[in-house]
Amino acid sequence: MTDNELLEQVFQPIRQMQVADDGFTDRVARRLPRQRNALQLSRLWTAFCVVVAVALFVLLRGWQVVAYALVTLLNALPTRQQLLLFAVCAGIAGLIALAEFTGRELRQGLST
Amino acid sequence: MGRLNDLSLATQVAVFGNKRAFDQLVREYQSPVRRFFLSQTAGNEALSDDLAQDTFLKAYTHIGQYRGTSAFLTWLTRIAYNVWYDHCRSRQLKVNGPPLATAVSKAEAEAGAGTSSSTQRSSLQIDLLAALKVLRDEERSCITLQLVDGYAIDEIAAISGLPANTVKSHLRRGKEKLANYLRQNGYDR
Repeated sequence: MTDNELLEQVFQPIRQMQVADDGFTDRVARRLPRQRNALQLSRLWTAFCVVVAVALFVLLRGWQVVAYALVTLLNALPTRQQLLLFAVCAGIAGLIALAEFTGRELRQGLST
Repeated sequence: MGRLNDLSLATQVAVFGNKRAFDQLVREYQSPVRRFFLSQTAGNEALSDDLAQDTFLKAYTHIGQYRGTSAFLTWLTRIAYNVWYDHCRSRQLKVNGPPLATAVSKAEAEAGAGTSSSTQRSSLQIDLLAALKVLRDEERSCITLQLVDGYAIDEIAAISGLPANTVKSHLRRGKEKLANYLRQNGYDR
């Protein structure tokens, strides 16, 4: 019998040995550390970015830039296009309000 | 358990911190991991369980690094090998192995202290675990990874971080020593 054959034969029972759990999984579960997962980290990062953006907006008086840009845009447009832009904005606002109203009605209907 | 399912569970642990998904992985793979440590510690159950727990805790904290390119068990075995390596180093055992007499007496002391009757093993299994004590640490790791866990030489090289030729040398020398030991103890009849 060669070395390999002998070892194959002798190791067979060890290969088939199944170690019973005997509460091992529970012991590991009890020792698991509390750690932040990727989702929590992602939310924290988003919140951090929002806070920084708002702070910069306030500190640098961002509303002035926005107002200036809007006024410039409106002044640059011909009157007909201003009316068109106003109509589109009003339409979008109307659709949003309608969707909100319909959704609320539906939710009330489902709850009753 | 398929690789896709393992990857799905690992992702749930990494992204949502789902501990139940990790429990499933532990339940599935505790047996091969604990068997690996039983082979390394010459059957010391208490020490094997401690090291296996450390392995799973490390797997939990580094689960985001599992990319699914290899089987989850192979990834876990790599961690287990490193835990065993660190354990040996922390006890000031060189990876190349201490003087044989020291290693054997230390392993015998550990085996005596840690063996309990909670896991039923045959006398052959116990003899074999004891026989592994004649090997040096790296020889024992390579031998058990091949003969017990069924890994190929390149997989053992990836798990242990050793060059494939070194793994081959450890396997050749280890098998020779072990076969001689077993023959001297009447195992080839």
